Amino acid sequence: MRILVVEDDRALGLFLQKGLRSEGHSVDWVGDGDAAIAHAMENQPDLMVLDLSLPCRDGVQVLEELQGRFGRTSVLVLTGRSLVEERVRCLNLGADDFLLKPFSLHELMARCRAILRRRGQVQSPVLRYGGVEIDRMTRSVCRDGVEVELTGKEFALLEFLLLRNGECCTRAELLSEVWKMSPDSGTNVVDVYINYLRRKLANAHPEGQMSAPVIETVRGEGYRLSKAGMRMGPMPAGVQWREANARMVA
Amino acid sequence: MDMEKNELFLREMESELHDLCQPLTTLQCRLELGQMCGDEVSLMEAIEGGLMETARLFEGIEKMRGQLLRELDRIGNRAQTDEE
Repeated sequence: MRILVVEDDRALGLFLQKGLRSEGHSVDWVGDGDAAIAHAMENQPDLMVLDLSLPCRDGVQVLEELQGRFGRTSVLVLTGRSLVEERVRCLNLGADDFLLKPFSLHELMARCRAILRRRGQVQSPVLRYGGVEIDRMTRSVCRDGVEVELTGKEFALLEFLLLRNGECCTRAELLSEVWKMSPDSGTNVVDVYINYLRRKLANAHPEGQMSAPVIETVRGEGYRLSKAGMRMGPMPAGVQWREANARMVA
Repeated sequence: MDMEKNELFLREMESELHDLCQPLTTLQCRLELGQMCGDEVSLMEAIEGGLMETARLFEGIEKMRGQLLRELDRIGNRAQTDEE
C-alpha cells in the first residue's frame, strides 16, 4: 500500500517511514501541510499518517482541504494534545482514527493495518493481471496458483507493474516511483530487479525458464506485464477456489 | 489577576508537555525499530539516536522545571503576603 507520513519533526518522520517500510509498504514523508496536500493530489495514497501540528497549514486545515476530494485516502491523525473537541473535529472532517503521542511504533503499525484492513473490505486488496496475482494486504504473490516469494523491492516493482494493468512503465518512472531515485542517476537497478522478478516468476511455472515471459521489454521504453505468460488448460483446484473467492471479494 | 496567571501557567505546561511527547515518541520508535531489526548496526543506531532524543527530553524537562519553580515561588510569595 502507498502511505504518506506528514510529520514536521524530521527524526520522527523518518523513523515512521522506516518502520512502515519494514512492513512492505511504499512510504513517502513530507514535513508540512502544503506539501501534504500537493503530494495527496498527485499520488492519492491509500493512507495518510497526519500530525496535527504542522508548519504552513496545520493538520486540521489539511483535512478540511482534503475532505470529500480524496475518498480513496484513509487518514490516521497523530496528536500530542488530548482535547476531545479536537478529536471530534478531525473525525468529522474524515479522519479514520487517532493516536495520541507518545505512542509505540507497534501500536501505530497495528492501527495502520486495521485501517487498511477495513479499506480492504470495501476495496479488494488483490491485484491480478494474466496469471499473476498479488495480495497487497498479506503481501503474497502467486503465478498460476503457485506461491512466489519476493523481497520487498521485488514486490513493490511487481505491484507498480500490476497497477498499470499491462501498460508500459518507463525505466525513469520505475526508478522514481519504486526506488525514489532520480531518473538521471545512471543505475541499471531496474533491469537487474526485472531479471530477478522474471526468474522467480518463471520458476513458479511448470516450464520454468522456458515459459512465456510475464514481463515484456518494450524496446527503448521500459517494461510491461504480458498476458502471454498465462498458463493454458484447467487450473489446479486451489486456484479455482481462490479465483471464485477473489470474484466474491471484488 | 491570579486566575489569569494560573491559566497562563497551565497553558504553558500543556504546551511543554506537548513538546515532550515529540522526542519521547521518537525515542520509543527508534528503540522498537532497533529491536525489530535486531542486528548489531541497527541496535547501535538505536542507542546513538536514543541518546540524542534523551538529550532533547532533558532540555524539555529543564524548561518545565524552571517554569514550575517560578510558579511555586509566585505561590509562596503570595502566601507570605497573605499571612502578613
